[in-house]
Amino acid sequence: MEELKDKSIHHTTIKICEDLKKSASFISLFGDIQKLVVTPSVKSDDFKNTLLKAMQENGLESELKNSIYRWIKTKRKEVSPYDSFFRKAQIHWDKRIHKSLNSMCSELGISLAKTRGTSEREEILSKWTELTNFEVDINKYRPVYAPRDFLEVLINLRGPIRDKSQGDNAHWEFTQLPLRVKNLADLVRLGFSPVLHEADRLAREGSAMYPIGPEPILGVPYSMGVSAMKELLTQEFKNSWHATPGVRQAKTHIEGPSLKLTKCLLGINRRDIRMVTGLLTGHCHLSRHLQLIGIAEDPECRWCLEDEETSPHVLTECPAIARVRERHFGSSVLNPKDVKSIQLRKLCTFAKERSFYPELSRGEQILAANNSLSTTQAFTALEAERIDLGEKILAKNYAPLAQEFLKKGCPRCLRARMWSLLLGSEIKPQHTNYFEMLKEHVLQYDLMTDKLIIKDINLTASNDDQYFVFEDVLYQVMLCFSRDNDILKNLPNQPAFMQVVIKGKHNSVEKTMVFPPSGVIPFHGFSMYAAPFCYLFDKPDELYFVFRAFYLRYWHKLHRVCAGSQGIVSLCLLYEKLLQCHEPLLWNHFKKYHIHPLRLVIKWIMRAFSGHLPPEQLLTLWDLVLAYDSLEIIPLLAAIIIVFRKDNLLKVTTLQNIEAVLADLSSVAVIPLLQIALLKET
Amino acid sequence: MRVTFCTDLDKSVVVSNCEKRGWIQVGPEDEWNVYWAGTMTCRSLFSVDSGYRMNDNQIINHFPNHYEISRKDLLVKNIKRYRRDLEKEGNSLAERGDSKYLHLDFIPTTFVLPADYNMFVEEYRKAPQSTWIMKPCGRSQGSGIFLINKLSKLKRWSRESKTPFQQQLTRESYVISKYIDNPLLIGGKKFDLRIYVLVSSFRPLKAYQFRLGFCRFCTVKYDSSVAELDNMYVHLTNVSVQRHGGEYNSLHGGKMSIQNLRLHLESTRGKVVTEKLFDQISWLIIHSLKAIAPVVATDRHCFECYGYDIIIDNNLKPWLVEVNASPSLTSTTANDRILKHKLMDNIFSIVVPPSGIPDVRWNKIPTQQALGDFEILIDEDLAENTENCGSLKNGCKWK
Repeated sequence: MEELKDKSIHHTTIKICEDLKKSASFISLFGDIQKLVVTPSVKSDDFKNTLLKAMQENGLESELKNSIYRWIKTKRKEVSPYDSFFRKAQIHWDKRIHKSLNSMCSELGISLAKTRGTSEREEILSKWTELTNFEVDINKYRPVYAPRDFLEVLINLRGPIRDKSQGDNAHWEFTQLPLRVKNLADLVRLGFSPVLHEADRLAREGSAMYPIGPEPILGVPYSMGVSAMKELLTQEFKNSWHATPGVRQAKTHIEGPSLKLTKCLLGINRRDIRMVTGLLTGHCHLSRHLQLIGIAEDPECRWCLEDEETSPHVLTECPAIARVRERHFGSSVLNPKDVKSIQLRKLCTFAKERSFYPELSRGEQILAANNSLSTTQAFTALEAERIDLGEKILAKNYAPLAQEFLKKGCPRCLRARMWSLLLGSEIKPQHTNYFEMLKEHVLQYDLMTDKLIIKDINLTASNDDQYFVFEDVLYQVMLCFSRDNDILKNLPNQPAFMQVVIKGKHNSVEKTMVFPPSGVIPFHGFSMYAAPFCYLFDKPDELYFVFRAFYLRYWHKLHRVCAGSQGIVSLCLLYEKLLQCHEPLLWNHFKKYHIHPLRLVIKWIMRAFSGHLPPEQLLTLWDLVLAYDSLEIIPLLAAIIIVFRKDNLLKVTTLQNIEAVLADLSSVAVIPLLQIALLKET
Repeated sequence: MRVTFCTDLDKSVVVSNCEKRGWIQVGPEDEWNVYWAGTMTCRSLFSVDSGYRMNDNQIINHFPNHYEISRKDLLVKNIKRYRRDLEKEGNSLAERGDSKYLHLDFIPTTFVLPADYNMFVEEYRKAPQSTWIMKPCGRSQGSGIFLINKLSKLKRWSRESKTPFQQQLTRESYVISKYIDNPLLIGGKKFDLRIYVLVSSFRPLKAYQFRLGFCRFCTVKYDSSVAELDNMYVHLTNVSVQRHGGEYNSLHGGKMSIQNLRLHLESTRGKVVTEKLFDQISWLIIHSLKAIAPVVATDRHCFECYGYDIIIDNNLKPWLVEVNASPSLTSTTANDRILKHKLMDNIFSIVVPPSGIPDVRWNKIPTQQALGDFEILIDEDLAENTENCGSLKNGCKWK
C-alpha cells in the first residue's frame, strides 16, 4: 500500500516536473535559481540544503509552490460518460461556425487571411494606441453568432439517452440531459472539506488497527482469556490514547479507541468522515485552527464573536448556533462529555448546516462596496483591515492564500495584484516580448476575424457608458488575443480549427496558417470578457495576460459545449433546476406563456454578466468565481435575480415585457443577494 | 394649502419632479411657491424697479448675484481676495511655500484681459512657450475658447478683434489661464468632472455635494502637440462642443459615472491617493464657496444648484475650471436622465421643509433621509452645534 502510494507520488512528481519544464515561466525561474546558485549563500558542500534555504529567503520557493498550485488547477479534470456525446455536439457546432465564416467571406469576396501591405501595416503601427481611428469598412460584417443562437444549439441537444415518451414538452426544458448538477443545499454544503490529512490518517488507522497484547495465561477457560485480553487491550489503548501529548479537542470528544466508532466512521462516505473527524479533532475550517496554520487573522468565533472558534465551542456552547444544535442534538447547550455520545450521523447533518459557499451563507461581513460610495465607519474599518491582511498575503506571494482571501471580498486597490498572483499572470519581460510578438503578427496579417472583433467592439463596448473609454485598449487586446497560439494549445478540449492558405504570400515557405491562431471565433459580445479588466489595468499587456488566464480557466467553458460540471450545459441545467425547485409558480408562469426561462438569462450566463452588471458588482462576482474556483455562482445569481423580480415578472406575459423587467441590472448588489439566498437555505 | 410651482424652462425633469410632489403649475404672474427660474428672470425679479416682494412661502432657485461665482473673472477675483484676506489674518490655511499657496492652490494661474495684460506678460515670460487658454468671461458651453502658446498670437487676436464689425466683441473681457497640459488621461482621453453642489444658504453656509456626478470625455485621443492646439475636440470636454465631432456617440454621450472613475483609480492607482483626490475636490468646493459667501446678496428665499467643472492632472490633483450657476438639465442619455431626475428630486427634498410647504422661517436643517444622494459638505449651523455638544456626528467633516 505504502509502496503504491510512494510510486504514485513519484509519478506525479515526474509529471509535474515535465510540465513545469515546458511552461513559459520555467525559463525565468530556472534562470533565477541559477543566479542564486552562484551567490555565496549556496555552498557546494551542503548544496541541497543551502539552496533550499536560499530559495526560501528569495521567495523562489513560493514561486515554485505557486506554479504547482496552478498546475493542479489546470489538471482538474472531470470525466463524464457523456464526454464524447458533447464533444461531437461541439465539433458539429464548430463546423457550422466555420461554414458561416466561409460563406460570409465568399459573399463579401474576401479571403480569410492575407498579408497586409506596407502602407496598411504602417498605418496600424502608427495608430496602435488609437485603433478607433483605423478606418475599416465593417458595415457588411455581422457577428457570426449571438448568445441566442448558441441557446438554440443547447436546447436542441438531444441527450445521449433518448426518452421516447416525451411529447410536446420535448423543447421545453433540457433536463433530459443526464448531467448531475448541485441543488441549493449542495451549494450551501461542503463546509469542512479541505486538507485534513491528519484526521484522515487517524480515521484510516482506526480501521486498520491490529490488536497486540500480552501472552495468554494457561489454565483459564478460552472465553475468559479472550474477554480478559479484550479488556486489557481496551485499557491499554485507552491509556495510550490519554498518554498521547496534545490532541486536546479530540480527547474531549472521543471516548478513546473504539471498534464501534471505527465501524461507524467507515460506514459513512469519505467526505463525511473527513468532516466528522475534522469537527471532533478541531482540525478543520474553524478560525482557531486556521489561525494556527496561518490563514486566518483572528481566532474569534465568526458566529457569536465572543470566544475562540474551536470545535468544543461550536459543538457545545456557541450561543449563535444554539438553535441549530437544538435541532440536531436535541439540546441547545451541551456538556463537552455529551459530544461523545452523539451519533455520527447527527454530527454529519450538523456539520452540513455549514456550507459550500461558507463565507456567504454564514452571512458574515464581506467587503463589498455598495452602489453608492459607502463611507460608513464600519465599512472603512473593515476595508482597512482587509487591505492590511491583503498586503501581507501579497508579500508572502502565495497563491492559495490569495484564493482564500478573495472569499471574503477584495478591496479595490488590491484586486489587480491579487488576481495576478492567483492566476500566475504577473508580468515578466518574456510576457512583454510575447505580447509584442502577437502585435507583430497583427501587423503582418489581415485576418477576417479582425473585422469581426472590430465589429464586436463597435457593437458592444463602444456603446456602453461603462466601457467606451477603454475602446482603444480593447482593440489591442482582442486583436492580439486572436493571434495567440498558446490558447489553442492550452484549451482542454481543443476546438476544431481551420487551416487556411494565406493570400499574398506565394514565395515563402509557410503558406498556410491555423485560422484563427487562437482557435477562438468571436461571437456577439465576446469582447465583453475582456472589457471589465480595463478597470484594473492601465497597461494593455498586463491586462492581456490576466484576461487570457481567466479565459483559459473559465470563460471558454461558457461558450463551448462540454460535459463538465463547469460547462455551460451544466450551468444552464443548474439554473433551470434552481428555478424549478424553488419557484415553481414562476416556472409554471413561464411555461404557460411558452417563454423558455433560459432565454432570459443566456446572455448573462454566457458573458458571465459582463456588460449587464455594473463594473463594481461584476468584479465582485468574478472575485467569487476565483475564490471558489467555480462558475456555479453565475447561474445561481441569475436565478436569484429572476426570483427577486418575481412579482413584476408574474404581471407580464410576453417575452418582450419580461425582458424589459430584467433589462436594468444597475441596482443589483451581488453579495447581499447571494447571502440572502444561501442564508435562507441554512 | 396646495403648493404651486412655476418654471421658465420647459424641461421635463423639472416639471415631472414638481408634479410628482403634487404641486400645481402656475404662470409667473400667479401666486407661486417654488420658482425654477432662468438667471435673467431671477435678476429682474430681485431688481429694485420690479418691486416684487416675496412672502415667507416662496423660494427660488437662484441667488440675486450668482454671477459672483459663475462669471469666470469674478470667481478668480473672489478667490484671490479670499486668499489675501486669510493671509492678512495670518490664517494657516493661507500658508505659502515656494510663493504658492499650499492649501488654496486649486485654480490655475489666471488673469483678466485686457485689465491684467501686463501681469500676464510678466508671468508668461517666466515660462515662455507654455500654453494658455483664453475664455470669454460671460459665455458658456465652450464658445469663444481658444488656446495660445505665443504672445504674438495673442497680439494678433487683439488686433483682429478690434476690426470695426466686431466692435461689440472688444468690450467683452476674457480670462487667460495657464492651460493644464498634463491632464489625467483614461484610455488616452482627456476628461473633466461635473459635480453638482447645492447651496441652501450662504450665511451661515450650508452646502451639499451630490454623490453621483459624471466625467465628460473628449472623443479624440489627447495630444498636447502644437499641431493639435486648434483642435477643440482634443481639448474641450463640453458636451456642446463634442457633440459636433464625428465621433460623438449618443448612447453614452461621452459620459462615465464618477463611481466608475473611482473604481478605476482605486484599482490602478491605489486607495490612498484616490481618497486624497476626492477629499481635495470637496475641499476646493468648500473654499470656493467660502470665497464668495461675503459678497453674495444672501436672501432667505434663495437656493442654488451649481455645476462644478473640475479637471484632474496626472498627479491626481484637482483644478477648479469654472462654476455653472444653471447647469444643463437636458438629458443626453438614459443614464443622464436618471441622474438628473434624482438630482432634482433630492434638491427639492432638501430645500423644502418636512412639512412639504416652502417656508423661509425654517432652520434649513434637512433630515438624513431628505439628503438622498447628497452629502453634507458644510453646514455652519451644525458645525457650531456640534462644537457645543461635543459630538461629531453630522457635523462638517472638512473643518
